[in-house]
Amino acid sequence: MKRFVVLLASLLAVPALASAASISERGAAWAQACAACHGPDGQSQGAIPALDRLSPEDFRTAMQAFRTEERQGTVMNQIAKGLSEADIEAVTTYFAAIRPRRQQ
Amino acid sequence: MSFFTRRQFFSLAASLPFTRLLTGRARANTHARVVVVGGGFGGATCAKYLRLADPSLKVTLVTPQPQFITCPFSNAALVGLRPLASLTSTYQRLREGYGIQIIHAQAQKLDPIAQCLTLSDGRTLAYNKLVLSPGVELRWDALEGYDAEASTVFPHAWQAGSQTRRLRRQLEAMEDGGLVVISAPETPYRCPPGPYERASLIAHYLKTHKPKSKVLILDAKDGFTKDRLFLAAWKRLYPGLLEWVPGAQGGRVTQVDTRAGIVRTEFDEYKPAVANIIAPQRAAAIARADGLDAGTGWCPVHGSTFESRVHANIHIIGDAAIATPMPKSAFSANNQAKVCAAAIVALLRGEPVASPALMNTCYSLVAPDYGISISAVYSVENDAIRVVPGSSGTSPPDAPETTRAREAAYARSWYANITADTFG
Repeated sequence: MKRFVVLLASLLAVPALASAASISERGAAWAQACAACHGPDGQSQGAIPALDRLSPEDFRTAMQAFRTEERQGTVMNQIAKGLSEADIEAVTTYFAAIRPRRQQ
Repeated sequence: MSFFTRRQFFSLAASLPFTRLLTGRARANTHARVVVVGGGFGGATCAKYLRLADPSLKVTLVTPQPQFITCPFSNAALVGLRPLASLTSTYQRLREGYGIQIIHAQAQKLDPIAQCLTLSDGRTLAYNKLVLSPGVELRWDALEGYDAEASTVFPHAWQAGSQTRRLRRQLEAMEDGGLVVISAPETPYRCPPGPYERASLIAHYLKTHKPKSKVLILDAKDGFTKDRLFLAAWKRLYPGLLEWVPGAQGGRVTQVDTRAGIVRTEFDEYKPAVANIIAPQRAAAIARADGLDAGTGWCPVHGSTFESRVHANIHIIGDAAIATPMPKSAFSANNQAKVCAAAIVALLRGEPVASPALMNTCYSLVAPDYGISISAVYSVENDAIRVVPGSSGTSPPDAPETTRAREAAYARSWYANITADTFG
């Protein structure tokens, strides 16, 4: 029940750019793409940073900083520029939703 | 026939991503039959993500071998940096954890009208949707003197396994002072940076063990992916040890003679101690059946679904497909597999196909602790794949050694993660 409330809360926090359902599908689609480097559901093995333990704030901030070149990465500057603001929100929401499950 | 044991069901339910939970919509179970051909990064990933998206699907994966040796990191295996065994995956987890039926056979014939596929063991599989991800085959008609028999003398090592072992033995047996020739083909071919990573790691091996030797890349092209990064690294790491001859300077290999041990270009003749002929390629035979390649050797597909432009209900992903500007990489195949799986489930349910999340990253090792990368994000416009402006590029060309070491570590981490995503 507690997990459901957290989930619901994270869904309600999504900006009203589109319906929560379509944003989540978009978020899941990008998260699946991320999995090739960061591991399934962001659970990375080895040097590539894991995504499943990042707070939504840290995730969003990192993506924006890569996008604006404020932060120098290796591949992430290119990748972040390929995602729209709405894409970044959607994938942030996705990882925010799986985070409580990973931390149990 | 029950596709699921109770244990499998709970194991699958536990591994489901939150997609279904988040979307919260009741989803129609389609109970459709999907056959996937090819157990590499495209096919294995597609089979798995089909089952994740719709557990009612009956998914059969057809692949010849019980084990899959990956091409990624086979250049490292070639020079002894890691054993081939560490690049070997099985289908046990896909079978037991995801309820995918695995058949070890060759897909031989397809009937796109009756929607069935005939296998080398005589079985015929009916499908609602067919996914072809069979990879490439070497063209034995493309380079004079180079056929299957010649590849036992001058290995291509472009499909990992016995060819990799063969080339490794030759490199080990070579005396110090020997010449290693690598012939790189015209685009398109599997793994665009592969020949250059291979040349780099062979140069690293020679520098360490046989420093009087030399690597020569005879190239049909005048440029290649990440060339700026490779050329700068070679100058620094392998001066005098590694030389690249572009097509415009006579690099194109026109003929090989394995009996005489000779590799010929337009103007020159070489007698290398070891010759690695990366011959021209095309989509594997099953992906060219029934005109699926429209006579070009590669398969035209629709950008959002990866459905064939020739036959309905057949989807083609990975190296066999024309997904330009996406490269023929393991990452692309894995990524396209997920897009294709989502599209197939939407099509079966009669729902609109979502706009695809397409991206690619290719890491290459220039030395064990020196990595470089290229990546891009793609969108689909008017049914064609396009690079999202600003998203395409390499890692910084003038980066310090710490960055290069970090990228080498990322390359190893990428390998662990993509194989877990594909086979785990």
